[in-house]
Amino acid sequence: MSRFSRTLLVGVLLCYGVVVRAVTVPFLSGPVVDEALLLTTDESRSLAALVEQLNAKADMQMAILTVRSLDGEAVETFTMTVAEKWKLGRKGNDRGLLLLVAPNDRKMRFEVGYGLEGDLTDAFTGRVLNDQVRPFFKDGRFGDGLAMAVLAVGQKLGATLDSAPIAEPVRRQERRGAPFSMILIFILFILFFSFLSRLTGGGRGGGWGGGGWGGGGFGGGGGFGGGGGFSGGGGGFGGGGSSSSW
Amino acid sequence: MRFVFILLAVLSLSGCGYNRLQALDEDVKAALSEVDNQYQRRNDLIPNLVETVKGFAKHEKETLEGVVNARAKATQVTLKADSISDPAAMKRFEEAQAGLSSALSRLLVTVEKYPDLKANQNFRDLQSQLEGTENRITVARKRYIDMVAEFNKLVRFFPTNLTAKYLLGLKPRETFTVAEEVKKVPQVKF
Repeated sequence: MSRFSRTLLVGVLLCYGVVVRAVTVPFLSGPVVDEALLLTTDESRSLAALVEQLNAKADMQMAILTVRSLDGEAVETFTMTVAEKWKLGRKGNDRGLLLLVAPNDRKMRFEVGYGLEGDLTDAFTGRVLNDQVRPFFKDGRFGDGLAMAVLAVGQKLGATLDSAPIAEPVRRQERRGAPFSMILIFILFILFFSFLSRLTGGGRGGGWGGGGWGGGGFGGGGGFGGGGGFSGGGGGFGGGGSSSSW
Repeated sequence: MRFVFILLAVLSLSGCGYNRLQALDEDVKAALSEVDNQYQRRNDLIPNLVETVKGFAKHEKETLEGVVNARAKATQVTLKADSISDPAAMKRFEEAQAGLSSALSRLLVTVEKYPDLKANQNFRDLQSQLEGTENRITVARKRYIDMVAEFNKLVRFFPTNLTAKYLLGLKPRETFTVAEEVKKVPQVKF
């Protein structure tokens, strides 16, 4: 590639890169929108049934969304964008609730609609995420963790939900940073390979760049028409809730 | 004849954005009081927070006093409907709140030194509440800024600017400086 066209490419990328950024808000296809594919079909189905139960018994509208990555956006900003688009809860009673999980960023957040702020306080949602959901997520048991969250909300709102029993999480030891030996091995590993590549004298091949997940986005398709009847009802959100990570 | 005149007058008024301007003016005021509300909510959380931290970190007197003083200053300055068109009042409010924000973040940095405090359930609840409130503030500010932008457009555009200026005497509204919104950069954790 000539120098000129390379410069041109950089220029084009710079100009358009800004526009491409930002995660798209997926289509609200049901109470559980699993874009990140964290759940098995069975898990997804039983979780959706559990959420439907909660919604019926507590007169509210909850939805769970998983996205693979936030693409550098703050969780709070992203959940707010989703909440403003999906409008969970009915207009006027505003009893909407959104639970987001972003596995690549290891972030999760409850976004609470105006009408539920009194019952589901920031402190309560914080406790649910930190104490009840996190241990499951650390074990990689996303379905159970999410079911736990739904049950906790149900309990708080006085709605008894029928669900299969959930086995206790195996509480793994919290590790604070990688141990020294791991870091040492990692450095040696890198040194070894850079040495190797110098020996073989290979020019600067491929490079990283390219690839990346991003883009994609299911959304689209669907179309309006027949829809399953799970759409937001105009509920308002004011930024209540809390975020956590695992 | 008189009837026709009145009809024409009414039509031209609504055509020139009289109703929309009035409605937006109210919306801007509502958005502003929401911002004030959320800052007030933060002020209300602080005494509890200070008491809890004091129980574990007696030596951080200076930092704690800094927060208490900043809060006292912030509670004195409130946003009222008439400060909407007063840049000086807006600036005073922003400065007082920014002072409190920085005092608070200093406190939260100090807290890192006290593992017992960080594990305390009461403190963790307060921390969730504080984070939630900061987020509500961000949301309320953003909505206010958007609302004012819409209002100001109407006040400046033709022909609604004539209605705004000669009939209603409305001026473009003051908005917040962007500093607070930009501040939120993604954190890198190790």
